[in-house]
Amino acid sequence: MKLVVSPPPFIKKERTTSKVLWSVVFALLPPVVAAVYLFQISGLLVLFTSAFSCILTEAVIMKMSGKKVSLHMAPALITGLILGLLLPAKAPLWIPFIGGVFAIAIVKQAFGGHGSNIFNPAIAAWVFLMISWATETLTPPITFYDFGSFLLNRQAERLVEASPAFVLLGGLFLFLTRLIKLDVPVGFLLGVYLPLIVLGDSLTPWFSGIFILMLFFVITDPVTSPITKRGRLLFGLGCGLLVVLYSQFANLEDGLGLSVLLMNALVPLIDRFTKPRPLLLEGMDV
Amino acid sequence: MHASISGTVSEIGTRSHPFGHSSLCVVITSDGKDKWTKPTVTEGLQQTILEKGVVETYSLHRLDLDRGADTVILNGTDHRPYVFVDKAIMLEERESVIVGLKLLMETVDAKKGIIGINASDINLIEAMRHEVMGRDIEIVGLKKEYTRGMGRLLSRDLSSQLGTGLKRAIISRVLTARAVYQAVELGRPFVDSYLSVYGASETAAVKARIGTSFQEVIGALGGYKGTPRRIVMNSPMTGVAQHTDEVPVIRATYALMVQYDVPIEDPGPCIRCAQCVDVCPVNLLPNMLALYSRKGKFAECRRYHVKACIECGYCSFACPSKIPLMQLIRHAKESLGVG
Repeated sequence: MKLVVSPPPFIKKERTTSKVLWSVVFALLPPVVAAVYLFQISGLLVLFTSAFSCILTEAVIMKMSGKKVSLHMAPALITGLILGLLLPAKAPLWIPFIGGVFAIAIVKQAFGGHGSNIFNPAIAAWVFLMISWATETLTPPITFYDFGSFLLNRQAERLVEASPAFVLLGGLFLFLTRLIKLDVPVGFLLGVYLPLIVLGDSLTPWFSGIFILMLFFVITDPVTSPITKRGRLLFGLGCGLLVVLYSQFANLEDGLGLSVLLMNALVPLIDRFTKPRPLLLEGMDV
Repeated sequence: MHASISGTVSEIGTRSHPFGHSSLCVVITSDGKDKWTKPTVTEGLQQTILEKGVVETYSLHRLDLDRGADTVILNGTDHRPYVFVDKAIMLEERESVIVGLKLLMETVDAKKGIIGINASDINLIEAMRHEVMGRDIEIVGLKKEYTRGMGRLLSRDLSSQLGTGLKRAIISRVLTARAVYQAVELGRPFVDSYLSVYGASETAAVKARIGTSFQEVIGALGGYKGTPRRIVMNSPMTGVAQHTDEVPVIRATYALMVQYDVPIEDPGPCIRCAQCVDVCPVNLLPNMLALYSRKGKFAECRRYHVKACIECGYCSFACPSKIPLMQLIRHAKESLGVG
C-alpha cells in the first residue's frame, strides 16, 4: 500500500484558477457574438488579430523564459478579447496587433507575468493606442440610447457597442456565479451614480456597452484590484468618482480608461491602508 | 497510562505513531476476559478525572482545571460529511454527554454550560434541547465547524450570538465530556475512543479501544473500497496524513478518512482573487503572508499579524490556484517562534 503523506487540508474547493478564467472567456462570448453579427468580417478580424497577438506574445515570452505554456492561454485570450471589443471595427489590423503585443509584453510580462502586473493589460494597451493613433481608434461619443439600440445598435462603430445588452448578459453571468469580486462593481456604481444624481446629469450615456464592460470585466480583474474587503469597495468607488470627474471635461471613453489605470496604480497603497485588524490577536487555542 | 484491554504484556518496542514519529509502545496480548477492577477512590473530582487519563484527549490537554471559570463550552461541531463523531455521541450517549458536562462545570465551579452543535442539524438540536430542559445548560446552533486551534474563536462567536461576554469560559469537546462521565460515574479510565470513519466500505461511527490499529478499525467496517491513496486521522482541514494504516488509535483520535483519489496539484501563481481573504475567520490576508513566507521575509509576516493565524486551513481549501497557504504560514510562524 503506497499512501500519500501531505500537509492538510485534505479536501480542496472545486473552483480552480483555470476554470474561473475560462468562465470569464465564456462570459465574453455574448458581446463577441453580437460584434461579429453586426460588423461581420471586419469585426471578426479585429477580435481575431487582437486575441491572436496576445496569445502569440504570451507564448513566445513563456517559451523564452522556460515556463509551461499551456496554462496561460486563458488570461491572454481574455486580454485580447477585451482589447478587441474596445476598438472600432474600421481600425486597420496592425492596431489590434500592436495593442496585443504591448498589452502582454510591456504591461504584463515585464512586470512578472500573470498575477504580478500592476495595470490592467487590455486597458493600458487601449489607452496607449488611443494616445498614439487617435484617428484610427477614436469613435464619436455616444449621445443617445433607446431600448432598441440597447439590444442592437446599428449606428455603433466600436465593437462593444454592437449590443450593450449582450455585454450585460455576460456580466450578469459572472455576477450571479460569484466569479468576480462583487464589492468592486458595487462601489463603482455608487461612485458613478451618486454624483450624477446630485449633478442632475443625463444618465443615458452610462448605459453604453463600454461602461458595462468596464463594470463587469475590467475593474473586477482580480490581479489589478485590491484584496482587502474595504479596499475593493474603495477601489470601485474611486474608479466611479474619477469617471464622473473626467466626463465633466472630456468624453466618457477616455475617462473610463484613464480612471481605471489611475486606480490600478493606487492598489498597493489601498491594500496597505485597509489592512484589516485580526480578530483574535493571541492566535491559536485549544 | 492505562491498559485498554486485559491480558499479558508481550512486547515493549517502537511503533509508528499517528503524528508521524515513532513511539515506545506496550503490546498486550488479550486474554479475552476484559474484567474491570474496582474503581479506585480518589479525592476530588479533578483528581479523579486526571487519574482516569482524561488529560490527553483532544483539547482537554490544555484545559486548566485549576483556573476556575463561569462557563463550560462543549464544542459539538463536526466537519460534515467527513467527520460526524460528535453527532454520533450525542445521538447514542446523550445522557453521558450532559452528565459529563455537569461534572466539568462542577469541577471548575461554573454556573453555566453551553453545547454548540452544527446549526444545520435541527433534529439533533431539538433533541438535545429537550434533554437539557430545566438544567443550566444551553444548546446553540453554530454556522461554522470549529477544529483544533479554534477554541477562542468559538467562544467569541458564541459571545456575540448569545449577547453575553464569555471571557472566563473553558472550552472542551463532546468527546471529553463523555470520557469525564465514564471516569467519574463508572470509574472507568479512558480506554476507548469514539471515532467516525469515512471512506471505508461502511461509513459509521465506532468505539475502538486505544491501541487498535487503523487497519483493524477499517477492517471492522468492511475494509477498503479500493486501493487507498491517503488515510487521514481527524479533520480533513487540520488532520494528519498517515504513511501506513498500522498505527494505533490514540486518545486524540476522533475520526478517520480514507481517500482513493488524490490529485497531485501544481500550485499556480496567485492571481489576487482574495478568496482566501474572504474565508479567513480571523481577518488575515493569507496570500500576503504566504508571499512573504515563501521569500523568507518573516519580519513582514509579523507585521501582517502571522501570530493571529489559528491554522484552520480554510485559505488552502479555498485557493483556486492550489497554493499551500496554511503550510507557508506555518513555516513563517515556526521561523518566528510563534507557532
